Amino acid sequence: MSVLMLACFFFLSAATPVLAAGSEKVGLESSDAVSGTPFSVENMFPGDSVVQEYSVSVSHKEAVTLYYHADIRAGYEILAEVLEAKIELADKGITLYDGLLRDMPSALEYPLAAGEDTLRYRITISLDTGVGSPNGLDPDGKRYMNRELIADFRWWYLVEEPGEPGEPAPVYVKLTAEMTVDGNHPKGNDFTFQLTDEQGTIVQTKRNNGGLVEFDSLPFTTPGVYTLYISQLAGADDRIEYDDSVYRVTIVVREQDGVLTASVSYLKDGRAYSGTPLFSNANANISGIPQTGEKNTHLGLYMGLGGGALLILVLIKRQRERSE
Amino acid sequence: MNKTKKLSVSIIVLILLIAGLCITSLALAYTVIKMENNRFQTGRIEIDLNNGEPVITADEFLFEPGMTVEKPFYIQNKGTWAVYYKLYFAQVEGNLGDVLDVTILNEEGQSLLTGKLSTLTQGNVAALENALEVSERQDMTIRFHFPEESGNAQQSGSLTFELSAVAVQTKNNPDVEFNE
Repeated sequence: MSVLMLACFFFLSAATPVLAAGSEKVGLESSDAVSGTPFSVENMFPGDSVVQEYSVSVSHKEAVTLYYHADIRAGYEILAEVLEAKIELADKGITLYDGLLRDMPSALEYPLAAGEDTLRYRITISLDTGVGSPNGLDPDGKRYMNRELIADFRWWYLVEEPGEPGEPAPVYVKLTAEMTVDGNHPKGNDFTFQLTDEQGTIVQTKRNNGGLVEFDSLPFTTPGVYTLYISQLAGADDRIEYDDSVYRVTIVVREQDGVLTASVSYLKDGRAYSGTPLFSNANANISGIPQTGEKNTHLGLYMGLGGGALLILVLIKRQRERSE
Repeated sequence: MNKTKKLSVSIIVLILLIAGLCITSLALAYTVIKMENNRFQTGRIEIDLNNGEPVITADEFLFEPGMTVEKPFYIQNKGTWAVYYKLYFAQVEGNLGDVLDVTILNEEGQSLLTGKLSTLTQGNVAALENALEVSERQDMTIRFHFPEESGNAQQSGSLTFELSAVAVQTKNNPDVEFNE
């Protein structure tokens, strides 16, 4: 008897968080604030949609541009592949973004005129009814079931002091990857991954943390197109068939109004790849070989049997000696 | 380089560094506001059909015309939302699939599904009328009947099949779509 489970589908994206310049270094002025309640949504199913409104107050004298981004925390990227976000300015009838959380630009901007101090953001997070239908990325319809996504919403603005030349602050790009063994996230950190540049120079080497591979944030200070490669190093365990895929990462850094933004795209085997780079390892199909991470629990048994056989031989020999 | 020169160089470097820091600080000022820890969690569809155990095993019965066999089984919702579900037969092999009449009964003895076993496929059967609530278990009976009129033509016939279930959430699913 078989049990078929039709999965529901939800989604979080293969997000590559792109951090805006300087965001982690600045203080919060007491007059700048956001009012509202963080989302706390459980048991979402395809077709669900949740809305929250946030009133963002900023203190400024000159005209400024207010930026917004939803930073998806590392390790929660999968659901961003399917969760959709609609970011609206509720009082203005303006939609800043309507698409997958994964694909949200690194900064959604809106110009605030001098004297305009408050904006009301309406944020709608939804899950399309088609999520969970089996497809290439989700062959059994279970990929997005029982998943969690945590995101930090961030608003920021930049004030340029008159008369002072200012270099754009760097934009940070954080690259992540997912890895599996026989389709499951392994425990431990036994696998090694590398980030290399076009010349093959190693930029970073990281080990997995369960199913997550997380590289350090990369700062970019100059507009341009940057190319990197993510690959897995083959380990020494001959019980594992290591995924030798190489993902080509293209990072495009642009400057607009003194602010750097970045977008990230992937190529796998020369083809455009959407989502978090995935390394699918497998246990080699060798009869009698223990599974990944499994200790050879028969060693003690073999030693015991060997020792027992030796003891029997000794006893037989002594018996013969006595008989003679 | 004597101590005086070293000190002078150090002071100059320090002044240059301070000057650079001042320029940077004056050039750009950022303000960041955060609403952290927004959480979104998806639900799960999971059903337990008789704990994966077969409802009938090979050599358990030797069917003959007129014979009826009844076996109990259950289905339980182990997901996080109520589900619609279908019971059907898959991987049907053997000539008895076109002969055996199958009926699935609920605890009250009402017929939920009936027909020739080979015709009760996933595409042919409808969802059962009652949804299965979270953690709810429904005990059922499956009845196999070998029609009297089959005669001896089906002697030495065989049959293998999988009794299967497919479930889909009731939420946002007014048309009971199964994504088939």
